[in-house]
Amino acid sequence: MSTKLILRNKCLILGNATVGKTALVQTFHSDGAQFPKTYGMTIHADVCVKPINIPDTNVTVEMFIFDLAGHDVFQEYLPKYCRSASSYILVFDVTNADSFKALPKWLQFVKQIKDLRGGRGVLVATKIDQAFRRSVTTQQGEEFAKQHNLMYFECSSATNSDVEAPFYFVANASHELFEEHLRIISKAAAEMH
Amino acid sequence: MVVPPDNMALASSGARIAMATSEHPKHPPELVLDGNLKTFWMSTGLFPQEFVVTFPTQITVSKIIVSSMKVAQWNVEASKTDKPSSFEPLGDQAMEDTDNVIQTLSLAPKEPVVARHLRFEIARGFGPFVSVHRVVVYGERGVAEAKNVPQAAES
Repeated sequence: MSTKLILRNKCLILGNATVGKTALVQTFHSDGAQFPKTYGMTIHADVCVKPINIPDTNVTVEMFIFDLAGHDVFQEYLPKYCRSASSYILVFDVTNADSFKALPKWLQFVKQIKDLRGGRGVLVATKIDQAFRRSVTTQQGEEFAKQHNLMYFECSSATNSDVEAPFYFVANASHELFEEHLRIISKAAAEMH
Repeated sequence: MVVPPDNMALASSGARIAMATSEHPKHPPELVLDGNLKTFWMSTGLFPQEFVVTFPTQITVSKIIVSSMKVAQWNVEASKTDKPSSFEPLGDQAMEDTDNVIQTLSLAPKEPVVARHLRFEIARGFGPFVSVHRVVVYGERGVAEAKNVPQAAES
């Protein structure tokens, strides 16, 4: 009998339109093989599933990645896609200062999703390969993340650098959260009679 | 004359789990049928979650008691057919968050319900993961035809 354990995590990808949410998700999902070279606006939401093995364990976290539309037109529909989410990744584009300024608005949105309480959020800066066009510095990103207790990552989907790290962090955190809940429930159960 | 009701949802009396949406190697769904509150089935993420309990023969259900943790909404359905299909709602209940104390769902259908399979759906939880410790189903083996069928036909 197999002792493999599969955990499931619903991860929301949020941020302004055109920051590269879909590029990040598709590059990660295809292990770097499919960076979308032309822009296609995400309508409502794209969903994909990616299993992540947790090192040194028999645990696989199946990430249900909800790549949500960033365009304002879809704002009113987002809450229904966010129900019972377990984690989120906030995305901004380092060449687009507006996308960075919009982060507080996205955090406000995240606060309304009550299922998300407890999990630590993740902030991802994209397009770092375009150094000459950069308008948000690493320091600014790190400071914002620190202020709001987010984990901070920088990546470039176009050059497939560091796109896995934020997802691995979410998967690991999800596994730790599960073990913590299991410990609490096991302890409570042991006291039953 | 009065015989204490039997728990039909015990593996030792032939009940089994037909399916479950989560499988933890140490906390498999079968543990809800061992009559023990200390052992439990653990969900492994996402909602809804569900499991189906199958009885060896049709039974007439008079009461269902489920012990769980962190469940926000239970929906219970029954199927009379040999194959677990054509489920019909039996009852549902919104639960209160009791923190880390056992919650108890207690459902007593107005009319006894005939079932070969019972589906227990957890629509939402108070946390990302929930546990179910014990399912107790009181009832009688077989279909209590004399009492129920004419009533059902008339109403």
